[in-house]
Amino acid sequence: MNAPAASAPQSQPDDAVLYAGVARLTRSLHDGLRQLGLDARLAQAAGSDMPDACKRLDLVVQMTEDAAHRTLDLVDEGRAVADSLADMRTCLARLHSSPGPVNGGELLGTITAAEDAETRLRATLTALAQAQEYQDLSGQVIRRVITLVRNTEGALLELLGDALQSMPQPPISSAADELPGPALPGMQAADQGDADRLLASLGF
Amino acid sequence: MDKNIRILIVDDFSTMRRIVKNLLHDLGYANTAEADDGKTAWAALQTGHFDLVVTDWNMPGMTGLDLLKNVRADARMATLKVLMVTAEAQRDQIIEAAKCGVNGYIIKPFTAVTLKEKLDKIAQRTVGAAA
Repeated sequence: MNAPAASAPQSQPDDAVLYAGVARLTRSLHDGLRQLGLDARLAQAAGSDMPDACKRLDLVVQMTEDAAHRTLDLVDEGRAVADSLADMRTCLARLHSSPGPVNGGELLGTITAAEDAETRLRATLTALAQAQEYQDLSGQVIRRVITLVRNTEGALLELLGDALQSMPQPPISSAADELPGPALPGMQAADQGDADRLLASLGF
Repeated sequence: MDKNIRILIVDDFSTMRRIVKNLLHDLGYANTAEADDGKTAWAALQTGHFDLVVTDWNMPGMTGLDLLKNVRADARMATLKVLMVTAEAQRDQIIEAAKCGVNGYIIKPFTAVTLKEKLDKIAQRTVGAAA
């Protein structure tokens, strides 16, 4: 088993040249980054800004979910008001069709019920409007994250510099097996009519 | 469609499950259950009888498409209808869902009218197939 030992002396000078070259490049890259302030910016982005952005976006998901549930709760309350209006309508129709003088007590009870329904409906509508305040708060959070992504993008583009222009094509934006998700403005996507026509052409 | 059919609503977002459930109730379908992804839906389908699954596509755990594939590969669920309600709006995806045997495809955001149309269409086809 002497063969590897015999070949080792031949590769050692090549390895040494390679290591020296890598070390030189690393030093050069490090110096370049430091001069440009890019290492600090990228370290800041990777070390704290990105985790912070993820936390903020998690908060947005939670905030929008809470607001949607609050809105749906209020819609349920609105339905209850509609039910009480239906009861009043039935009562008034009965009073209208009953012979003889109108039952004053029952009429007054219906008027009171109508006042109560009006109060509840107004309160529900006010609460519905208030429940939309999540848009302001989540919008502010999302804007901060957009600023962070833009700054990081700028730092990465500076780092890549001329190398980016010589790339044959821009980097792939997402993993090949990832679903595209909701269509963004300008993105080619089917609407319900397109989907219906496509499925019809497939025999659905 | 028979309003007493048992419907499983599958979506990882609880708000969307609630919206679909409310719309179904408004249309007279009150016999519903919920699952938060394909895996829990698949488990529910094993233990209980359902006539219709209304499922999202993109969910962690098991996607709606994999759930559909599982359903179509199981002879016990031959009559189970699957309605996909999803934000995936690319032509290729719609074709893929069709090839896997979906019974209807609704793109989010959607309206109560669209949901009713698709349910009616599934009902018509069910009646047509039985006749």
